[in-house]
Amino acid sequence: MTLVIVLIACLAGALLALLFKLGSFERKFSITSLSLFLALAPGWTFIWLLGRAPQVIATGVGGSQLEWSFAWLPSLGLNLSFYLDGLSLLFGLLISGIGVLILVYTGYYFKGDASAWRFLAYLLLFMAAMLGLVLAGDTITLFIFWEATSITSFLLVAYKYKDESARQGAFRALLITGGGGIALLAGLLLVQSIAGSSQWRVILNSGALIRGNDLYPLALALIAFGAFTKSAQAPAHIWLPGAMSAPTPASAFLHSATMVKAGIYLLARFNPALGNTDLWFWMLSLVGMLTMLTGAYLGLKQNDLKALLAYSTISQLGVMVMLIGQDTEIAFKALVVGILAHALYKSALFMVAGIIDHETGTRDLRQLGGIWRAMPATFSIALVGALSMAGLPPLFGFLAKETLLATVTHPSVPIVWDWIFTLAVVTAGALLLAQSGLLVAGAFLGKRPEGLSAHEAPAPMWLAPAVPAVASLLISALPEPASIAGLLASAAASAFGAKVKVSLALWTGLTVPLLLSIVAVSLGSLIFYFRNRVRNRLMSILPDFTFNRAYQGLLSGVDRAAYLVTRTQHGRLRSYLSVMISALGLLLLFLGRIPVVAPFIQAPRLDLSGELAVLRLFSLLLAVAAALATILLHRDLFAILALSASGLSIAMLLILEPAPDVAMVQIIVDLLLVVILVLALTRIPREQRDRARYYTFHQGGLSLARDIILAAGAGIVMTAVTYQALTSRPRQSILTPYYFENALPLTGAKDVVGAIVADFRGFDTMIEISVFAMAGIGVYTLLRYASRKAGDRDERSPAPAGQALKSLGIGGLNTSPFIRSVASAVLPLALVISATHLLLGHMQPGDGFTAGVIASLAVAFWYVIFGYDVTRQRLRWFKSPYLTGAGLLLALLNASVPLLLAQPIFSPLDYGAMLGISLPAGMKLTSALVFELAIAISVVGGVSAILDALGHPKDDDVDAIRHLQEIPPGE
Amino acid sequence: MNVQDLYAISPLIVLVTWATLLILVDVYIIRDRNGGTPILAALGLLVAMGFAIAQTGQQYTAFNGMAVVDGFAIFLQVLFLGSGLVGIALAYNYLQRMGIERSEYYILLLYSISGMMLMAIAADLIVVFLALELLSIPLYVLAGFGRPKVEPEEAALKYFLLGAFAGGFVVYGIALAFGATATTSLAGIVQAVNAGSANLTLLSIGAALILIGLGFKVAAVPFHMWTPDVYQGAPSAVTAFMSVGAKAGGFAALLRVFVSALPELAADLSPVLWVLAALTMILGNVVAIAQGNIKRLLAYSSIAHAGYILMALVVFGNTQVSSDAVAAALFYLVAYAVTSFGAWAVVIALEKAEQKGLALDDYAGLGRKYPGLAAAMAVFMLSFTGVPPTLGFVGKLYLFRTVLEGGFIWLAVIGVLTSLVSAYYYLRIVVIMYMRDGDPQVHAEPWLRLTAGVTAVATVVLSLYAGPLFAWASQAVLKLF
Repeated sequence: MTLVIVLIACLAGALLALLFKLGSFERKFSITSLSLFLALAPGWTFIWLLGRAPQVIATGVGGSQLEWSFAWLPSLGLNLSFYLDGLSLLFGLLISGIGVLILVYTGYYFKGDASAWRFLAYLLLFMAAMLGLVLAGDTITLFIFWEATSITSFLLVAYKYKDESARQGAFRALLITGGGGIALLAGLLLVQSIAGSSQWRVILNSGALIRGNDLYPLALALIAFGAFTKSAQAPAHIWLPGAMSAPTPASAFLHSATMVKAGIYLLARFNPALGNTDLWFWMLSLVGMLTMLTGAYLGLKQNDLKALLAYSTISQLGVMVMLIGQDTEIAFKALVVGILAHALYKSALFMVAGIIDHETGTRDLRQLGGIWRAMPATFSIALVGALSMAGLPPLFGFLAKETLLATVTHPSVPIVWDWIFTLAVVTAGALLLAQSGLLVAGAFLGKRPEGLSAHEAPAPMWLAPAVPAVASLLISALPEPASIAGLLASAAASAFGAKVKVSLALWTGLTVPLLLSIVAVSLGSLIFYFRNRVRNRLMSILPDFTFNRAYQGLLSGVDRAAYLVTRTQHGRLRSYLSVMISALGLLLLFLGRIPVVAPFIQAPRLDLSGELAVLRLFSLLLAVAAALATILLHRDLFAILALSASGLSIAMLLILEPAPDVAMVQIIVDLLLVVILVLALTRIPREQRDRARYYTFHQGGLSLARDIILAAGAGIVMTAVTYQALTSRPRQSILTPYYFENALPLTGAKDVVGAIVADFRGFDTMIEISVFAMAGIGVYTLLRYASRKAGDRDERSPAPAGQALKSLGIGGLNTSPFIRSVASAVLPLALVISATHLLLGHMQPGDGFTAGVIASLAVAFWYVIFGYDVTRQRLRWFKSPYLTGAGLLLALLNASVPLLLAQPIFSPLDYGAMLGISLPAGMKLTSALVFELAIAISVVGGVSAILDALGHPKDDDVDAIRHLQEIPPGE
Repeated sequence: MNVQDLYAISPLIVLVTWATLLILVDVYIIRDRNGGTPILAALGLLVAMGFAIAQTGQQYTAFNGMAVVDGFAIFLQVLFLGSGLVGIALAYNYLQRMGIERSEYYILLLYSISGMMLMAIAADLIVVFLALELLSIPLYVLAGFGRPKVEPEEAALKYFLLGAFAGGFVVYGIALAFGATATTSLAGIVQAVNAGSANLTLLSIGAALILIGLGFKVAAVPFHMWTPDVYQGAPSAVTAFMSVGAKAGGFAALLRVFVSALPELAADLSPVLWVLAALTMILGNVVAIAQGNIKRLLAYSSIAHAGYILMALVVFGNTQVSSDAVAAALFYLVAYAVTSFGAWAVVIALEKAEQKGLALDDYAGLGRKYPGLAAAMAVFMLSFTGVPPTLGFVGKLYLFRTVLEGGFIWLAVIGVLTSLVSAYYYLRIVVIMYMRDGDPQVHAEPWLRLTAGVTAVATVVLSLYAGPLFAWASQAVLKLF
């Protein structure tokens, strides 16, 4: 039989609840009958698990017993696997057994409220998650269900989401338990990587390996963090009282038997693998003890029935954690007895609290009292539950406490700790007894306040809590129920890792535990007797330990930290860049391992022999000076010219290298850049430019100093890097000789650079022209639509041919006839030069790119001299989409032609020779030529898009001007 | 060079040609902008995707080692093309609603994707750079697509200026790498390093510069500062595409360059990457808490997720783990992409003109009024946090495990703890949606609803049935031959 079937049963139940809503069954069936029907799911689970019990108990320690796994991501070692041993069986039975009662109870609690189907669905989902958690066969499956319980319990706690406190409480619970879950994941992954498997079977048997690993403390801390948050250990206990805003059935289920016990389950489960170390002992014992005392003490201060029960739960959870910390047989016996006893009486008491609330309308102890006559059945149940909680005979709780008291001696720790533990346990026991008294006396006994109406709940509603109450009476009253003892022994053995003997005899003679118990009972009775005085005087001195301020402080601290960091994000480009550059500098210093000063100590001698060296020095100095001028000159136009000068000096360097091709590209690109920048500048209103200049050049001395230091630092680091590169790089280039040798024979090119561009790296070049075309289209898109406001959708068509247009230059200025005639002559001249660049691309410096830019430059000149309209009218062919598309397609086509001839793509072809066209000497109609032409066309296309967009005179950016007026003026 | 070369870049050729033709078709045939262009663009993506998928299982280099076809390239190409489809679906109604419907959007999108695809197959640093530019330039324009409004303009300008700067770093880095090894081909670099002829210091400086440039693209701290400003200013559909596509493109390059060419430099570069990853996770998650605007919140969340993926890169020197790390990174990228697109679909459904409808408070009451949309958003937030059963959980699990196996315990711990921090702001959105009363206005057009629905279902179903996706990612091992 597969274990997963129990999950499916609960999920099916949740689905049924949804169907109830979707199918509009609420008219035919009441929510009560739905709830009773759904109780079949956990009921069946309970019986199914019970049926497996004999087999599990018989198997004994160390082996499971029932496994089932489903390959989820096998290569990642991810399986959904399930595993049933004594421990999971105990928890599974508790969850499903109490689940049945809760569902029955819920049906009456929400009687007549058809919208409660949602609650039932959540409840069943939670049940499925919880069952999955305890039945999980590996750590990952456990984690998945662990988080599922956090989420589903969030849904339950937040069920009354209109209530602000419910929202707060739910969020807090989710944040703490969900967050703890994530820490748990890290711990589980660590354990998995140490043990080499995520299966419990393996992990539980590699305890020595795990404990011996260096990472053991980290793994333990992470796992314990997860477990502590889930099981509300101090100081993470603060979410549990807040979660009491959940409807009572949820509280009774989640906070007595199930969710809070998940942490206990986890620790108990991990005990064989992680336990039995000093760290484990101290961490669990101290946290548990602290929690036990905190809960016991705070519970006594409460007036709200549910809050009182919540704190007593916290106290009991502390006890359990403390017990797991101790590696003695008796401790694990106490643990399993405690778990069962607590689950029974606490679920009964929670349901009782719900009944009281339901029937009287309040659960405040100050407004309750004397209702035992009106609610005899409820009162009896409460009495039994409270006596068990108080640990009085003949109830099961007494047994739990006796066993607990027997655990307080430890062989391996200093004797003083034995005393401290004893003292703590006795004190907590006394306080717990006082709490039970407070609960019963406050709610049921004493004088009934006026106006408090009370009547007995319907029978099924009180029958639900009656079952666990009676059970806790019977288990201890009946002589040695062997089957339950066997079940508990099996669970304890799974957790302890060795056989544990469990006997459930109530009377074991006059022992030390019994004496301690008597002390605790007397002390508790004393506190109860003086409860008013104790609560008024003693308790008001001590703090509440709700840690609200700490929790809020932590959250707001995180918030504040976040805001603080956000302030570095203020939108100023200058500082964004500063951060990037600083990071760069640090990174390079770290990686370079070069003292920055090194290049300057062993600086190379300045060798100025020969004219070329002098020229080089000159152009270098010029480049630096011009670069400096670009940032120092205030007028933007001058800065552009200085930038251009800097670029041209670089070109000069390149010529001296000699690298004429590269130099030529540098020169024409530089020129084109100036033209485009100037055109762009004319489109920006003067006022805006002035304002920009003001903001650029007026900055405080501090920020100026910072910028200078940063720039200098970055410059020095880069210089050092470059120097290093120059002096220590491998001298021999692999590529250059290859190109030199093969350019002519393979491609017929004398110009090696041309051959590289058009032939050797045709692939790159193809992409490059795409990039260029892309940039053109991009600029065109952005600028064209800027001028085209809403409703204005017409294409910008040139004026019809023949219409006389007044020729106005850039910025609407008149141009002289002389310069106009020069411009007219420049264009054809430029086209001729372009053509020679194309034709001789393979023989001499220059290529398709330079050809395209030269042609574009001439057109740009026209835009400046003649203005937009005339240029467009005369140069109708100068249209971006045509040219770009044509260029790219021609290039692709040309590259693909060789394929038709069964030759590789981009392979050089001589079309002229193939077609038998005779050309003048030195000219060849090759595929490279066509490619160069395609490049030229697409370059012209790209530039035309930019020029067309920039040159248009009407494009005043209205929004930009409006926005400008909103900026506070400078001087 | 032969037909195989052409075959290697066939998806790319198809896409570029398609986009180029689409310019002409759009201008001369589809004049009235009745939605033909987006459909044609989507068709082009599908055709290209067909070509990409047809190459499954093949491994070879093309163009003299400039391009490489392997599982990694195919996986990423399909991812890019898929994100393009979502990018179109998200924009279809959104652009109209915002009054910025221009068919160039789809063309630029196609070009940008072709840049990303080129990045996936690049086996040469020059090609890497070209791909980076081809990827970025359309994105610069798209970021400013909301022109003439001021915010998109600012976004575009910032993105462009800083992006150009970052591009400069990459070029400089390539130049230094060339100086160190006398080659730009990745395989050549490996050879040079193995032969001992490379200057390793110079190479690692070059690699660091490339790292900065690409770190900018993936928004790694401290090169992340543009992200929130640009994400907020750009039209949401563009932001959605950018937050997935550009990031994935950047990671494609980082993984390709570092894992396949530079494992010898791990001793130097792993600590750097470690610090970057940790900073990115911490800062992204912490600052996200303070955000009241959903776009800015998602921007920081995207920064944080970049940090998680960077974790995979930290182990790149460990050849035993690195193939797992690549698979983990790819898996996480898919998880992030699916989740992120879904979240953006919801954001776009709620956004109104003039940057309205973007505050977290605008999500109040979504759970009541639009339960489907809210449920989808809740799924995305859980997936971002890494809660099962979602893709985000499987992705994080795989990543953390790989990092642990690589021996970077503390990095994994930082990753887990920052996930914990992230729960705070992701869950807050869920709480706002379900637990506060409000009257959200939603424009849930069919395509948006479809995107949100499909991604939400995929987020859950693919996590439960992750086998095939996982197997596919595991095949995507980097090979240089």
